[in-house]
Amino acid sequence: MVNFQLKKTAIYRALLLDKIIFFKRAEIFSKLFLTISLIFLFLFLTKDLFLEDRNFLSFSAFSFSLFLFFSQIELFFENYLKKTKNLMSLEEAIKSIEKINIADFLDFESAKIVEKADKRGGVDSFLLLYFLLKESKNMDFIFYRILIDKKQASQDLENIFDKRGRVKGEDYSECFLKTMADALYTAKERGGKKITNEDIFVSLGEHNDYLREILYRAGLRRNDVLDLARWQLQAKENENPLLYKNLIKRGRLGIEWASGHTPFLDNFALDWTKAMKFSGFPETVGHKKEAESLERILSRNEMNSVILVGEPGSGRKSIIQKVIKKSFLGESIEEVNHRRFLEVDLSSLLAYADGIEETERMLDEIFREATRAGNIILIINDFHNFVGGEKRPGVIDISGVISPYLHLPDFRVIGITSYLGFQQNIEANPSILSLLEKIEVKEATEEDTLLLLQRKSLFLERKYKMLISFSALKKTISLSARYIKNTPFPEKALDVLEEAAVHVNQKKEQILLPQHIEKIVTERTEIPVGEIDTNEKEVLLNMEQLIHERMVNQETAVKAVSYALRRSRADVDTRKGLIGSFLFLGPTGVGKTEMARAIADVYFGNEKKVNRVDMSEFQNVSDVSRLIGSSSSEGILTSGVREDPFSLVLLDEIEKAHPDILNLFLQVLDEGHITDGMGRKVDFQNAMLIATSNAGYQIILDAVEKKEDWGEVKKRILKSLFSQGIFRPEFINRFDEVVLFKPLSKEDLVSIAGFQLEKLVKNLENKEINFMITEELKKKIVEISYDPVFGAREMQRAIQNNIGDVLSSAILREELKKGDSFSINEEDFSIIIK
Amino acid sequence: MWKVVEKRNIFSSWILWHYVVALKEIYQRWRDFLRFSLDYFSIPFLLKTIFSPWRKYKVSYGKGFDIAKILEAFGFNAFSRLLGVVIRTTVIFIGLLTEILIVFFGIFIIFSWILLPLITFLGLFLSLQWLTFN
Repeated sequence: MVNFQLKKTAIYRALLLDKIIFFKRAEIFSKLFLTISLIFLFLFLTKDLFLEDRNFLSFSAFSFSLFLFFSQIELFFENYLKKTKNLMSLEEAIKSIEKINIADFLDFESAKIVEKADKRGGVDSFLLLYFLLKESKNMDFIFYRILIDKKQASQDLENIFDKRGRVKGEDYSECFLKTMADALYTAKERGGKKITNEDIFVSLGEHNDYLREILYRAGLRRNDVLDLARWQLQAKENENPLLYKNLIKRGRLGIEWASGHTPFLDNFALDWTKAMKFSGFPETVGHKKEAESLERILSRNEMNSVILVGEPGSGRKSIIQKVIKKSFLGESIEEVNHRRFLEVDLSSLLAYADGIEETERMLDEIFREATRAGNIILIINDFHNFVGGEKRPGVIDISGVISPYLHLPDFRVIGITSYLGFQQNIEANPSILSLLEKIEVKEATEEDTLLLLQRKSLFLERKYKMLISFSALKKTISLSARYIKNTPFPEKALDVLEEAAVHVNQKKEQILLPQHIEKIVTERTEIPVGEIDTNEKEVLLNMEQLIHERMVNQETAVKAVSYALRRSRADVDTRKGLIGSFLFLGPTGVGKTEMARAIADVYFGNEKKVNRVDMSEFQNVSDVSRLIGSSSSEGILTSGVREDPFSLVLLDEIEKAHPDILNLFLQVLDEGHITDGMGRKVDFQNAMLIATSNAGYQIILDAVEKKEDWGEVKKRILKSLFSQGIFRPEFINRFDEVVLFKPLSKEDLVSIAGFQLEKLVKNLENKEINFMITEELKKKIVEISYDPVFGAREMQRAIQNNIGDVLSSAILREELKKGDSFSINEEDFSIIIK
Repeated sequence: MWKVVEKRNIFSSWILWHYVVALKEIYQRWRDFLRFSLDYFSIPFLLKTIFSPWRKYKVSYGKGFDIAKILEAFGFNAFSRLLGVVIRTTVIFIGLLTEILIVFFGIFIIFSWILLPLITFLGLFLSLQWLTFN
């Protein structure tokens, strides 16, 4: 059992004193008496006539003394009585929680809330929440962001009180005591010294049914609420400008006088140190280890130049900014302290110089100045553009000029590059590579990104005069993690948030909600994210029917694909892989490829969403680079998915590809991603993969002829494929389903003939010619083209040869004109105009 | 139950705050200002580099024995160092002056703070007396 006795605490005395006007309004009194004192002093100095001089001075002195008196009272009350110090830490208190009075750890504001609740008697978590909502103005930050309507919530709680009446019995309910004990843990977890209203709120989210439901509806868990509390405390933080660490931000005089002048370099450089000083050294988040490595390398006497390798947007520049801040404040390693960080603007140098020779001469001068000055650290952005690689306008190879300098102890460079640039240009230049220490910059973590988003939100809220809900921030992180793959954190999340803020501002709305984030992500990726809208629901629920509008038969295949799509969109799929992966086996012309097109049209919205790869083109291992790219070129498969991640990948005639190439797909099918030739991770999680093959089609044809059990046929085919070494079991097992396509019957082909002829009808409609299809014509087409081995493919040829040719001749001879209606005689394929 | 907070009566709390807690805070800010002034004028660094050439301006004596060139280089280098000494000494002097001012200002603030209750009481008492008797 835990103890909670507010009246026995030191903070309770502050609560009592706060009721005395003398203490409560001490600040107002002090300001008032200072003003009066100054007025009398002014009157005394200007020697007004209606009172004697001495009285003015006496009044002024009296008011000034009162000002001093109340100022001391205010300081004493605000800085000492209201901020009681504990003799033990929260950690120690938690260890002996049953032997302490938890109320001793309340800060003034939270003690005030408890005291208010105390007055009503029988305090439970509902009463505590009620007063937290009603009295605590500094909690508005949190309430607004989780979209709690304070008035409505207070009203709901009052209704609860009315219904159940007053809680009788002990002063504090068990639930209240649990809330307080948990708040103590929360304060410790947050790194605080006292229990604040924020801690109580986090704890109430666990123990109070009403709040728990609100948070549940908003999709917030305990950690989210804790993050929110941290955000609120961070926003409230007001640093004392008189502390040394803030005073020293003004800089130091004369620190550069022992270093050389760099007049020439200054013309072609951006001073990062100056820019950071101007913006007040904003806090940087994350990448602590990388920043420490950077400091260590820069402090060395040899090998003290660095190449930062990471994707643009992963926070490479913020690592340098972190080091600049420490260097400027003198908090880094001695050799790095008080350096000037200058970015060489190579583009403007190239624009200024006349020819390569002059550029190299100027660069040499710049590097010489930087070395001689002794306090310069040069930054070269997009370093890969200036080392090797293709020669093109606006690009120069500086490796020849920079190499000799990189050996000098006073010459320090930080190059910034991407993985691709590093691989293509820098690794290909061993002489430069051996002089640079590589630091890899991984993308920021989701926790660090949330901190950055919180900071950015405060700025965006001020700029666009809106409120950004916490759920919107969480949504930004979850959606950009899942759907935006070509940019790393934190950049992608910051971009989405900013775009959403602009969108909300344009719509003249007040609050940025998760729905706005979903809209922006959908627009950016063309992937329908978020709540499934009515149209899409219709499509998903009627998937089978919609596909059958374009396809006949093949029910098993249609069902398997439809289920996979529904699972994926309803977010019940827990697999890491693709939306769905299917292997379609069957003879040619039975609709395997057509089915893939139908899915793309029905679900992905367009037939063009099919990224078709003819696997017969990949019969040698050397063809891998054409499929997934190489260090210098994009791959057919990977570039397609990178450009359009929400698409259907169709691997046609997969049995014809080299077995080693098929092995590449093991990871795609399992994990949903692959690394392309340029070393980039290509994500397939929003793609569907369909592989088609006619391997083993003879078994299907025989089975149909002998009317064998279909389940057995599938087993037999797979066994045959494995024994012939066409596919390996681990490859087949990774598909969601292997679907057998049956050969088409004559009845199926009649329907297909209808679909094929419909296409002709549509073409002729554009010419305002009406083609009437007869059942006899369809049957005739089937009769002349039926061949179980070739399926519907032969039919296309039959239509083309017998009807297409007749029609084209008739149009050219003007036998068929605008406004005509005709049918075709199935016996001799002649035109009958009606 | 364990004692978690030191409880005193309000008068002893005030004495403790005024003469220990607040005084310590003032002392810390005073120390921050002294340290800042020392660093702002880079006094230790300027002392360490007092004879260094101004902005690293120096010329080489060259190879071989050319008395005119040696004298010229010596003259230039000596002037560069002298310029450095003059400017650095000036800044050190201003810095030390500021430091002394901060020392005195800090002493003044600390004494004023110690005497503040008395000043307040005397102020109230004397001004009331003046008002009453005039």
